Amino acid sequence: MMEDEKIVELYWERNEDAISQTSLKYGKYCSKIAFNILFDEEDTKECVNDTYLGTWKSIPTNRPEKLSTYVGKICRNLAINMYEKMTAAKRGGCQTEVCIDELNEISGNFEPDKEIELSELTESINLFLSDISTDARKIFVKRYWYMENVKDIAKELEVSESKVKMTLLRTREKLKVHLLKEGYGL
Amino acid sequence: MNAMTLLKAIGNIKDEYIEEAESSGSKDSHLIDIKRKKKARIFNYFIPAAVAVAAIALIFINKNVFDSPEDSEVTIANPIVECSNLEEAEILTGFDMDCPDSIYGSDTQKAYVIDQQMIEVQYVDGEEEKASIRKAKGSEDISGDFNSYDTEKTVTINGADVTIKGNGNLYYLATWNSQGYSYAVSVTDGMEVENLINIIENVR
Repeated sequence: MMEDEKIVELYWERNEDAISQTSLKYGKYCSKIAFNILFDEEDTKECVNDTYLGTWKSIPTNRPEKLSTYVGKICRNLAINMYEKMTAAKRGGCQTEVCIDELNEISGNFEPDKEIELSELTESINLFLSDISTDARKIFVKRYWYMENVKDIAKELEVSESKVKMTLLRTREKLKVHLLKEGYGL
Repeated sequence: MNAMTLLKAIGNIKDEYIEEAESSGSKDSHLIDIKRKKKARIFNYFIPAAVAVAAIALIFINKNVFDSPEDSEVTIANPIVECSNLEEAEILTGFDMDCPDSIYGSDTQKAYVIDQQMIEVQYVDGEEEKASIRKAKGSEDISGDFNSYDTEKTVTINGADVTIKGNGNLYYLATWNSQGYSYAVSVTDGMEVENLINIIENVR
């Protein structure tokens, strides 16, 4: 596999091998992220292809140090946008709906019409994540970034499913308190 | 702010947290996540059934899931039956299957029946799945592999047109139909075309 730095260099040179190298190295990674959100093979393909296009368009001007998380974020954002546009009927069985329901526990307490600056909210969440335990952070990110289901998280971390659920519940409660303190409340 | 806003904001958290969560799973899982890929492939094949089961399950789920976190998951019936050997899988599906005893020097062969209609033989080396072969009645693509490959070509083996896909000189997937059955060979780390053909020649 080509090193990230060299792949990024190919993008800067506008060499189309950059896309094939990205696909080779991170295609499965992106497919996993998109599939967890979309739960549909064709949509996943489309999303991953759009991810390559998005990466092509954004490098340059960007020069990411970590190509994995760079393409991963593009892929996740695209998948979330695709999810929003699609009908709920098509989405049976995916984790996105469940994750949104869970996060409603937090966001439901906030003023619905208040304008939210996403980057500021992200910074606040980063601050929160820096302050919780590593285990709680891993579980939170697996659940709400990778959209993994509770069973898989428990298996990967070798803990019980009830522990994962309890940790998520407590972390959501803490995040709610944190965001209220940060001024995202009523 | 709604939950979608929160979900989008979480999407841009620091890279180190994303990597930390990913690396806490299997080794190098961001490159080749076999378990995840396998699960996705299995679910791809059974999406219609899974969606139907999930829809029924949803009816029974309390909308206020946070009052009962233990009940907050949608459960889907497991359509996969692990068999003690290939013969047992053949009995469960009602058709025979021939395949190599070992691929890539794998030390274990595992047989599964999926949804009572497909046999999957996995070749495992230690904890790592090296390859899998599937057979089912019909002609649809049963591979469940939705990765994009830059090379695709058709070769004729045992009278069947076999589509093989890969990247560069390495091929990861082969699919074909023969005598009313659909077949798929998936190789985790890829292999040269000659080696893949050798495997396909021994699958019936």
